[in-house]
Amino acid sequence: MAITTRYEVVVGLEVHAQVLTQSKMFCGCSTDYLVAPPNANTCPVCLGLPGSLPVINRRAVEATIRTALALNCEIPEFSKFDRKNYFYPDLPKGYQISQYDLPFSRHGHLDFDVNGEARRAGITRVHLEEDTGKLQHEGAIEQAQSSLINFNRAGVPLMEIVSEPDLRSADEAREYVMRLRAILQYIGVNNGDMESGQLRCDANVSLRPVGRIEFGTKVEVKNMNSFRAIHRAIEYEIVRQTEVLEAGGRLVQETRGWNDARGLTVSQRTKEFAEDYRYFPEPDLPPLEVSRQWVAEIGSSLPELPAARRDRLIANFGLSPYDASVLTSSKPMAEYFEETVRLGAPAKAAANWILGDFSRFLNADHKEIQDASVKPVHLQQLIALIDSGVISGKMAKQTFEAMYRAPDPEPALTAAKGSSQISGDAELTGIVDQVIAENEKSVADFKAGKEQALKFLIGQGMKLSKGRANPQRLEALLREKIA
Amino acid sequence: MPEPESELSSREVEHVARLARLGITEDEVIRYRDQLRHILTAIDALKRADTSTVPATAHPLEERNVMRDDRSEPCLTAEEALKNAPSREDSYFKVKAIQE
Repeated sequence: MAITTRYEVVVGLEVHAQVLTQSKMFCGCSTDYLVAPPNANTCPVCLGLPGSLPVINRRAVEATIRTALALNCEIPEFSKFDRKNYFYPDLPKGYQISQYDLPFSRHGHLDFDVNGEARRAGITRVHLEEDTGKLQHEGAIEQAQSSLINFNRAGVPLMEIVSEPDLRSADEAREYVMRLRAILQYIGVNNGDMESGQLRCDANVSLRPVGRIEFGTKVEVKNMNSFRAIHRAIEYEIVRQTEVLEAGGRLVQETRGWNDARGLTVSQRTKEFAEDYRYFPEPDLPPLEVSRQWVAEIGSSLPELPAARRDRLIANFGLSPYDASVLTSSKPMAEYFEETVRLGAPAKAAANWILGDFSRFLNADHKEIQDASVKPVHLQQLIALIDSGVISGKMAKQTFEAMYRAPDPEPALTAAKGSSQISGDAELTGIVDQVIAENEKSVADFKAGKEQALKFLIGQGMKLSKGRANPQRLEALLREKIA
Repeated sequence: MPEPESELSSREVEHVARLARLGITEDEVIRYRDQLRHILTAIDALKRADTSTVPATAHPLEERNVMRDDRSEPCLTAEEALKNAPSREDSYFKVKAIQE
């Protein structure tokens, strides 16, 4: 990309992640806002009615500290909430309870990789706040006369994870978010759903001439709700900003929204004034002392994180760094892989299937691996059929697709097993003769009344036929011949 | 009337009024500016106190770590929530269209 060689790309990301809790941040209303009827998950606290008082949800605080620990942050011993004051119809109180100068954590880092190369981005801070309600516009936004508000989402606990401006390309930004999402899922604090907005990402994008220390004018890009959108939006901004600078123009500091359908960013508002939120300490909430013991308790329950799992998959199963990275980018996918291997599938074959056809189908259907009808036990059996030569690679692909498309993968799997089964007595007789000739001792044992010996002989026959012999016919013929 | 640079300006009063969505007249700008200047003078006096050995107060009460368990409880019904809404449509609050 010759166009960017004169400029260095500088990206910092702000990720908002809803915390998986039963109840909202400061009240007992359910967080299940996606399915509830409009405004049915509301109460005086989250509607900002006079006289109501917030109470902190302990689990949300612990989830934030858990996240901060997973991102190698420092956890100060003292923290508090603050009011961020602004007016917008989705914000019922006229302020958002957030954290300003004493967040739960700062100074962390996130390790990720781009095309197998290690990268690290600084984490400025992880803080906790409350989500806003949701606005719906009637008709096209430009012509809408009125907006409708649903406050079910208002007050849902929301973590803000801010990176340092350490990312240098759209690729790096995408990989950073992928790894961050994986970590949030691994530690059980967020479901990773970008499409429904439970995980959201804003990017600050600027350019500076190569070699310059000072940052250029930054543009905040919002409304990217997929990894692909993050990548495309940043790429678009790099080209747009480069063109402005190349033409001798000046960039304005502004917020731009990504329009996915049109593939471009659109100016939303120019930041003429520095944002003026008049933060002050939240008088309705006493501050928090975060004891070292509490932090240690939260830290002790952290599971294996994606980076460690990736290294383990490489060491234990000999996977390539790339395959291991992709497999561990989603906790369910990593678990699926390990379960398939535990059931007996060779690691490389399991990885190839999961990252190949399986992922392709899932992506096309916008489905997650845990929602697929094909379970590890089915995939393991399919791989076993290929390894034992029962079915060809080409047939396995067809079988897999049939298994994937069906609500129950069993029939397709059984059909594959049966399709090449040898049931014809003519062919089976040859196998039986060979088994009898090669296993005189077992034949004698069986004649002497040892039923176990017959099991062994059947096994030998299955092996000779590469698993294709019909076991019932094989047994019948063996009994017949030996008797 | 010329305004000394260190003092609160009329512009700043207008800015704060806009942030608070208060429509105030030109006379009020002057009146509030002068009143606020008095308050700020008092604050300046407080600021001269030596607080270098005193930790910042985050909250006047000494209580700490007041938290609740993560349990969901019954909410209002949508009908109750909307009871005082100046304008509604179905089960939504309705406002004039918002465009950024």
